[in-house]
Amino acid sequence: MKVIVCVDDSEFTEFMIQQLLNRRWHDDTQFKILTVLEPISMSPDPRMTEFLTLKREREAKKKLAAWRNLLSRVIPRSLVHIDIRQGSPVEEILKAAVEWQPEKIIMGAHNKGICPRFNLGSVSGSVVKQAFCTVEVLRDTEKAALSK
Amino acid sequence: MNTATLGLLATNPEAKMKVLIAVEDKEFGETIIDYIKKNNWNTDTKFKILHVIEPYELDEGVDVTYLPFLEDTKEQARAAAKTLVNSLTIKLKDKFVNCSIESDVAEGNPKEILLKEIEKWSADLLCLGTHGRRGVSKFLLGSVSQALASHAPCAVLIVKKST
Repeated sequence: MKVIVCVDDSEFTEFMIQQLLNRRWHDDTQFKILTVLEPISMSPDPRMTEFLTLKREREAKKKLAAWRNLLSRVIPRSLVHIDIRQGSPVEEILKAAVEWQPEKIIMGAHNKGICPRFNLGSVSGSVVKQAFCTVEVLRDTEKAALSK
Repeated sequence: MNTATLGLLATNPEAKMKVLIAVEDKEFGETIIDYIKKNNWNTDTKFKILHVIEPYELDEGVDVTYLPFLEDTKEQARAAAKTLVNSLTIKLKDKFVNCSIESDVAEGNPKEILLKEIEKWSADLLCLGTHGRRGVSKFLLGSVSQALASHAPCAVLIVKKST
């Protein structure tokens, strides 16, 4: 089984990884931990933009490598890849799915808004609608309960 | 995130999972069950297969002489629903002999019934198909699935027919 796990730099990723570790997986499961870095457009100086982009990419690589090591260590005989892309999250996730042909995409519905329970998140919502494969949307149920 | 944070994460084999499987018809129900069977689950996972019968809405001014016919139709729908959930339960039991698998048929608005059931049964995961009768394309999410993906207070697995 091939599974794409979409992560970002929020605390929710830690919750997602914990959920993955709590489950039983087939021995031959392959994970692709995917993150998409959106373009930085805040700096008028292109050198600063380049510097920030590279810095962010380095940090992302470090984080994803740590998650890969953890999943490989805890889930026996799993194969874990990491994939860092630049661009629009929805487009890149869908593109990765077409290229890699996973059975499932796992992503979070963590929300930065004031009413987390009633917001799927625009990226998750678009992927759920457009992906050709099964999509699982994870939620931190404790936080969702607090928002009721 | 640092290595100390990572150290705190560990597998929890005792984590019990309650999986609510919403089925709309035979075709999509079997797709979901087949997908679930392809996955590994802890032996203490609890499954519940639920089908919701939507109420028939009578247009204003409809001839009441049709009402007995409507009652018969409702009874037929209930019988078909029971057959559906029973057959899917047997399919799932084939694979997960030691897991608790129950089934139920409810009547009402699917979204409301499923949201209530998630709360009542404390489901951790809701599994459903992309769309049913109202779908117009396999790339469009059905209105019930979409609403549940947005509103469910638990994880939601949307099984696509192609997988």
